[in-house]
Amino acid sequence: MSPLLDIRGVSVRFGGLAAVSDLALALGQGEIHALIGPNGAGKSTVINCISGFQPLSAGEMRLGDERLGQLTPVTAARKGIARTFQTPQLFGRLSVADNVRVASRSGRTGLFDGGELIELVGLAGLQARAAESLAYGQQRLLEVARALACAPRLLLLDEPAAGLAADDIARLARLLRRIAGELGLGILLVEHNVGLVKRLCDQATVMHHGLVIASGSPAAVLSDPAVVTAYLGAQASPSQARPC
Amino acid sequence: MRSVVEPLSPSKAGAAPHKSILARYRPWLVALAVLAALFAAAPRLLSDYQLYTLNLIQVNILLAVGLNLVIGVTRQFALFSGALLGIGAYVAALLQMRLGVPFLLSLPVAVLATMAVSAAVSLVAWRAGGLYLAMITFGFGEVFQFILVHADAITNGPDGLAVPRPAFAGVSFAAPARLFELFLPLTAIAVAGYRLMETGSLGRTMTALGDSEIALASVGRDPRMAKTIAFAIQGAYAGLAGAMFAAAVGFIDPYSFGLGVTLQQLTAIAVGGFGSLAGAVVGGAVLTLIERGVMDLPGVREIVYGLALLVVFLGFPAGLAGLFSRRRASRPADAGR
Amino acid sequence: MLSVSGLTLSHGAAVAVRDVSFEVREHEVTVLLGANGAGKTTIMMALSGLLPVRAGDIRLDGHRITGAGNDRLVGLGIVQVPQGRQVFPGMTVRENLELGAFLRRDRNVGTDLDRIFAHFPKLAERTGQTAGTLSGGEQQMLAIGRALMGKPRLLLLDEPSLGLAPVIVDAVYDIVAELVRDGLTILLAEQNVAKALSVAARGFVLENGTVIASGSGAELAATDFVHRAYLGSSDDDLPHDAER
Ligand SMILES: Nc1ncnc2c1ncn2[C@@H]1O[C@H](COP(=O)(O)OP(=O)(O)OP(=O)(O)O)[C@@H](O)[C@H]1O
Ligand SMILES: Nc1ncnc2c1ncn2[C@@H]1O[C@H](COP(=O)(O)OP(=O)(O)OP(=O)(O)O)[C@@H](O)[C@H]1O
Ligand SMILES: [Mg+2]
Ligand SMILES: [Mg+2]
Repeated sequence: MSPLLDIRGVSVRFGGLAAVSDLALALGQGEIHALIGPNGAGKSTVINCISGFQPLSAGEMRLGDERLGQLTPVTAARKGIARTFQTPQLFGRLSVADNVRVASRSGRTGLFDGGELIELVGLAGLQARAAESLAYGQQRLLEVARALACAPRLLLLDEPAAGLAADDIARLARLLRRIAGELGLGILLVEHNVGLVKRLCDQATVMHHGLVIASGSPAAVLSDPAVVTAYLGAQASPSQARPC
Repeated sequence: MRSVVEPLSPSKAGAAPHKSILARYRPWLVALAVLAALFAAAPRLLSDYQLYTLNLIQVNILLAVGLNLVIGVTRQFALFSGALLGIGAYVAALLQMRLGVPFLLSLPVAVLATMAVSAAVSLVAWRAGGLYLAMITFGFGEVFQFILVHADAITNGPDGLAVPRPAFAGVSFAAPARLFELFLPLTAIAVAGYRLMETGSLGRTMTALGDSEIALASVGRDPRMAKTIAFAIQGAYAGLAGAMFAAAVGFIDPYSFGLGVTLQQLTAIAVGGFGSLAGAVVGGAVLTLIERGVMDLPGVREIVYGLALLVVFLGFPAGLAGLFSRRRASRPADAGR
Repeated sequence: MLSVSGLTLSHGAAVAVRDVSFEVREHEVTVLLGANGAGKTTIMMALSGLLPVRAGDIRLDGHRITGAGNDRLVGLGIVQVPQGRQVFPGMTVRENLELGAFLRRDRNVGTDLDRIFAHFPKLAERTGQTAGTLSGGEQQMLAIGRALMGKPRLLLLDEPSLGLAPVIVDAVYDIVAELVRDGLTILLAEQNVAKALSVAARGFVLENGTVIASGSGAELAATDFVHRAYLGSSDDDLPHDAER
């Protein structure tokens, strides 16, 4: 069976800068795959490519049996690719409930309805609040709920746990496990919270300067010397991994 | 999520969750009653001049409601309200004069034509944002005016057109009172229709478009489509307003539909409060009254507009409508726990 | 240096912070901990004059500064790094940094620029790049760098580790330690509890807009909130079931 997402030879250039070079990455159904690496490694650019926000300079991508070809954000979303943004992009004047409603389409049913999603990410009681009035962490959680409301096959999360407190991270991790397990969703997780990556992800790919420098199980890549120097920092040891 | 938002003072939030049907529709019923009273009483009690003003108020309200959707809600900086009003007015007038189409039939045609033009402009210009869209639509308005002036075989050029007074089944609608009776239901339906749109799923999409185009695309909604719909709706309201304007004033010329109209309307929705339907209605009405009040005093109009804008933006940035909705808007309906 | 008493803050009619009192001592890091939505950013905003004070008193060196505007407070040396890296997107990296020094009278801007580039080599590579096209983490570095260019006396750091790779988080906390040694005073809001406690002399925990615990780093470490933050990193809270 072909993987849910198959990326081959993908490159993106910004003028003279190779933000992504010859990237290969495969992600199966129900798999949670971490994409990590130093700041500016090209992770968000990869998410932008898969979700149609960034044209490729070279390479090809497949979703299941289908070649993705020239994607626009709208066509990507309609093929079942949902995403969050590293800087929250909410519908600020709409309520929390309406943010989720804009995304949910009848016809395709996910496991949860909008109200359940809001509760599952931990925003119960805030349904009527305007999104722009939420605290930062609450905004990040709403982004996740909205992406899930699209009932996607593939979920791209750009640092969903950044700025979240421990309880909310734990809740988010449980939710992601559950949707990957029960719905067979593939999840590509960009995240700097190494503890979370270790606990939650089945596979990990590490990028640096647009290139893949390691891939495999999270535990293995996180102890790879190249990854330690480029990403974790020289003095990093397992005990210093960030509590989350 | 622990939220600490609590009302400062006890609020009415959390009142009976199942309101009776009567309570639910009370705002609508109140509006209906007020309109019915106005419909019955105004033609009897008011002078022709006052009724004429009321008719113009309705024209400006419709125009403001349409512009408010595009600028206040979807935040597309389109500056061609004047031209759209002109399309509605000229289409209705020319249909009546050149083809003998009755007024009531010319109305929907004017609406559709203006809608189509507005939507077409959006389809051409949808990628342009901010200042570029402003310049494109501004340019459209200038070209439109140029055409009106120079296609004098059809439009009678700068001399303008004397528009026939509407008549229907032998009854003339020449008197302001008769026009008022015709206009009020149309305006009421148009505004009520907007309210339904605004509170429904289309309205959500329109607000979402104004808040984040990329987020809208990311959930599979096409921003281009959403923009085109917004422009089409604006066109419909401006087209209706234009046809009513031609009938109410009885004379149209190219200079009535320039950038000045657009800027007036912009002032109206700014004073009323960007994005708010009530604001557009109040703003459109206030604007007309100012306009009528200072008509004969050259230069005063601009000063009054300027002052109105300054007072609103320095004093209450949410506009006149914000004064009434502030309490409601900041009431935390959740007190989340 | 800074003392806050009976601070009550609201967004519109919604009270977000109620009767909070605390002190920030000179040449120390004071940390503000709390769940998402607890009120940390709200307090930061009030301290930098961006949110009106509903009740209470803020004093800097004994002088009342309650209600002073942002420009005056910046003049007094209180500079904030806002949450979610707000840089001027249309300006270059260098222009952003120079703008941070706008209110300074001295002429040593050049050496400070060099110091910031030494801390964040990534920014040195990108001096001419428009800030809006930087990656998320690069923008966060820029936001911190810009605040430092203002040569503050009191630095308000709202979630500085947001979006940063572990190696850069270490760098940021090295800078924090260095700045404090050089005499700066810092108020820090942070979800990365371990990192925050590694530099903080004292701090307090907010819940629902009120202070529920305060004291030295060791005393904070004994609180339930900090305890949960560390617990969250253990591997055994990820069974798929049991929500809450
Ligand atoms: N439009 C652009 N022009 C020039 N450079 C760009 C542009 N967009 C991105 N870059 C650069 O490409 C590189 C990759 O950016 P990207 O946002 O993918 O990084 P990232 O891995 O997500 O980093 P972070 O962890 O900091 O978010 C960065 O160095 C960034 O500065
Ligand atoms: N503009 C606003 N209008 C209404 N409520 C607001 C507004 N901004 C924040 N709030 C609410 O005030 C409370 C405190 O928010 P604040 O941003 O201070 O939290 P925080 O502790 O900084 O959280 P985070 O860790 O997520 O950044 C939250 O419940 C939030 O939803
Ligand atoms: Mg990124
Ligand atoms: Mg905050």
